[in-house]
Amino acid sequence: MCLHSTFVNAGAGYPVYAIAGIVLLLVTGIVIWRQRWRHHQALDEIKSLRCKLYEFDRYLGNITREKDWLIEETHHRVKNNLQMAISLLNTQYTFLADNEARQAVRNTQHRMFAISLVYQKLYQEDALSTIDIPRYISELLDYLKDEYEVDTDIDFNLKTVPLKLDVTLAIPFGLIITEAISNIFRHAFTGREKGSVYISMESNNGRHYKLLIMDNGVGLPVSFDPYADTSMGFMLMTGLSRQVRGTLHIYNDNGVTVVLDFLNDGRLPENL
Amino acid sequence: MTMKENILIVEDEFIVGNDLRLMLIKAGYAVCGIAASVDEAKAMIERNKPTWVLLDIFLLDGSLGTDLAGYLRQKNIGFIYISANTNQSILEIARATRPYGFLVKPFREKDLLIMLDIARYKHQNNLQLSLQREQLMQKQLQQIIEAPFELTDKIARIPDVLQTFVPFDYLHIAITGKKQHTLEELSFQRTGYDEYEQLDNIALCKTLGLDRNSILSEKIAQLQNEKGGYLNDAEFRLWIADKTWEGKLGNHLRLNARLAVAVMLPAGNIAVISFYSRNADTYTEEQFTLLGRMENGIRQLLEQVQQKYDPLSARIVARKRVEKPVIDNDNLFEGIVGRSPAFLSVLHSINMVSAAPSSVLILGESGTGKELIARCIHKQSPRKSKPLITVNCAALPAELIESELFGHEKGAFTGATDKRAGKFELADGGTIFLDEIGELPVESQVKLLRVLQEKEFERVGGSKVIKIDVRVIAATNRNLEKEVAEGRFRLDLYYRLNVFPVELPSLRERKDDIPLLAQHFVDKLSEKLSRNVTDISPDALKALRSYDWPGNIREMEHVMERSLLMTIGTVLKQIMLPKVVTQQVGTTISSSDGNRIKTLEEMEIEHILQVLKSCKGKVCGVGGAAELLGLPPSTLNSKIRKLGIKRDFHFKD
Repeated sequence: MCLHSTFVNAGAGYPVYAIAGIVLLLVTGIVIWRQRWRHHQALDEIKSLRCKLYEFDRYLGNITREKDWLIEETHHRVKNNLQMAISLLNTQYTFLADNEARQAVRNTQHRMFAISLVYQKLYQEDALSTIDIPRYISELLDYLKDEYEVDTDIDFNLKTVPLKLDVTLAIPFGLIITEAISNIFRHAFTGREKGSVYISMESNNGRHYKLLIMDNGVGLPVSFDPYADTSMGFMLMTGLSRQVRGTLHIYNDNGVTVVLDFLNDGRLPENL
Repeated sequence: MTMKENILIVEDEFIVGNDLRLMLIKAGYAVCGIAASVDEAKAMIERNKPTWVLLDIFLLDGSLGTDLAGYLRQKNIGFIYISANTNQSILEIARATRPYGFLVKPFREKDLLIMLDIARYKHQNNLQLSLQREQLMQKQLQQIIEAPFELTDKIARIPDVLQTFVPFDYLHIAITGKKQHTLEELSFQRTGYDEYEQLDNIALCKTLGLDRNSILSEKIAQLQNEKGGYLNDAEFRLWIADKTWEGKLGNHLRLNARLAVAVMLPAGNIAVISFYSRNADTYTEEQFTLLGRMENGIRQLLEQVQQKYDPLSARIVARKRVEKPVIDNDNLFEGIVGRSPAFLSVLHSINMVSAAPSSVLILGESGTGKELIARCIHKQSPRKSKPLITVNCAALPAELIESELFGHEKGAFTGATDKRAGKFELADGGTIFLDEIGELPVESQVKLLRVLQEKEFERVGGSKVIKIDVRVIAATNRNLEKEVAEGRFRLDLYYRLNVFPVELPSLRERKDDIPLLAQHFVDKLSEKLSRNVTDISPDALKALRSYDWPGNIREMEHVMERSLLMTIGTVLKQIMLPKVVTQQVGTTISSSDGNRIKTLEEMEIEHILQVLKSCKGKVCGVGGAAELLGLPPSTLNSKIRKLGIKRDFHFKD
């Protein structure tokens, strides 16, 4: 007690300021030190977070690559299996004598090819799931021209706007075209020397598309109802149009005209 | 079909293999079996001796069809791959094994038969070329053997004859001496297209820091064990690792490959001819086989050398440069300048292919002189008196290209007011040069393939089939395999065109030719621009060599022209090189992958990265990357995100 009072007295008042000053200094020191420490911690945290981010980034990169590889591998297998199916049909064909049966196998082969062409194109595009439709149509057309060696001199006119379709849409779409073109080769110009076919795809808003396949051939027989499911080709066409959320019109107009109106807004049918 | 081909199918799916078998039999081929694995295939090849093999790449037991390629090549059996996988890496692996064709699954009967036709054409063509090569070599060897020249003259002509068939930068002929433990050696180093310097062996040893006498026994022992063969790249380096003389020589002359043949001479002596090349993948089975067939001629020649060989006279020859043979090269390769090894091998291959009727595919960056090479091939060919028609496929709109190539009938399309002959008709009997073939639209590629295969076509809007006889030379600066993988180029057409590829080196890869080219341009342009510039200052040459020449020789010609116009006096001192931005930023753009042209996007990525580096990662504010690039920071940031630039580098002070 005594000592204490002496000390206070001897200080003559200003040690209080000294103590206050020291305390203040200490407090500021602590505050600054804490700040720095926190800053340091924050920096460390940022560093470790950044590290984690890179790791994650690399991980994501690996996953993407792996995914791409898997998709490629799947496509590879799909194409191999398609080859097997086509080979089976080829083999079957050589063992058939009946003309109608042979024709049926041929038709199925063409349909298979239309599907496999989608997979071939699929692989060649940058994106792994969309098909460049104008190029697809022109190659499909080349193939079918090659397959049906008809005597008629048919002039094809192809006019399309750019369009990319997802594989789930491209396959039915390709099959519809295959049926329409096959019909033309088989029936439209029987007994004629010359003919012309106009194929176009238009869109005025990039959402609604119109596919038009028009020939100036003999036309459908008057009594024929294309929607009556009496022919497999027409049945496929109407059914597949519904699958791509489109509407199909087939009518005679100085030959046969097939019109498919469909919507392509980037959504897939199953997500509707 | 002149001869019934016997085909082996290597395919692990029975249904597919069987389908192939049925198709082939229907088309008149014989099928000797279907193997499901590489091992089974080898057994069947031994037993049934097929002339062709259809080869699936991925087989069920994990073996790869590509593994069989070397074996087939050795046996001289042609093969075609069949695979569902056509991405670029597979195509490149396949190409490295040099198949005759590639068929994509799912395939059609027609595709298969066309590919087989192409493959057989290529095979036939190769046989013809090698036969031609053989006859030519035989003739040239015989000429030397029978010529009444002095031996020294004969020796001087040896490297020139051999070079045409087996390229080399250094040639070594060693013959065991008549006395025990002696060795006669001839050494030639290539110095120009047909210029060689005969090296004095003792002096050469000295240069290599070796004493000839001390390594002689090792050399002789090695000579007696030489079995002949070829080694490229890594194999070569492994081989020289424990050899004293070859090791030093290889390092001294920067050699990367060797091909050797051993010949037995009558008195029990052995002679070995060794070819060495700087190019790492020079030597092939074909060259080795060719030399094997030439054994008789080579033996006769070496006998003469050995019998009359007098070391004294040889030493005299060694001092003087081997005389230039009589062929006038300036005329042969008009306007073509260069003597770097990379370029010389190109000249040799065009020399080889010119006389043959086969189509040629010239590959090289833009500005490397592809048209000049095409012209040169035409001029050296038997068709030289007939026209050479050039078509630039990139310069024509897609709609017009077919009428340009094949002509059109009157009224074939709007604007076709007259009948017109196409380039193919104009080139009948001669050569057609299709430049930028990679730009040809896919639809026209089918027609081109038909012309190549059937030698016939129809005019646009016409139905009359026109028969023609045209040699096709095509050129492109694109990577055609990539084009094929991405569906822009037909695989069958690619294989059909790629019968004889000629790869032109970029100017970057042949900088040794720059002084020669510079002088050539000075002479040519001085005359054209009526200047009297005759020389180039050493500094100017240095500047020319230090530049990377992305535009190759064409760019160099333009730069020389500009520089010449600015020159006063007779010496060209200043080169008007374009300013290179990247130099200022720091590290130069890596050109590790050589002659590939970078896409704009890649350039953008690299440029942004470099600027970011130079700003130590700072994007906005004064001295930030955005300011330097002249972009708002937000734009730059979104670009960085869009281009996928990862900022995973730490910018240290």
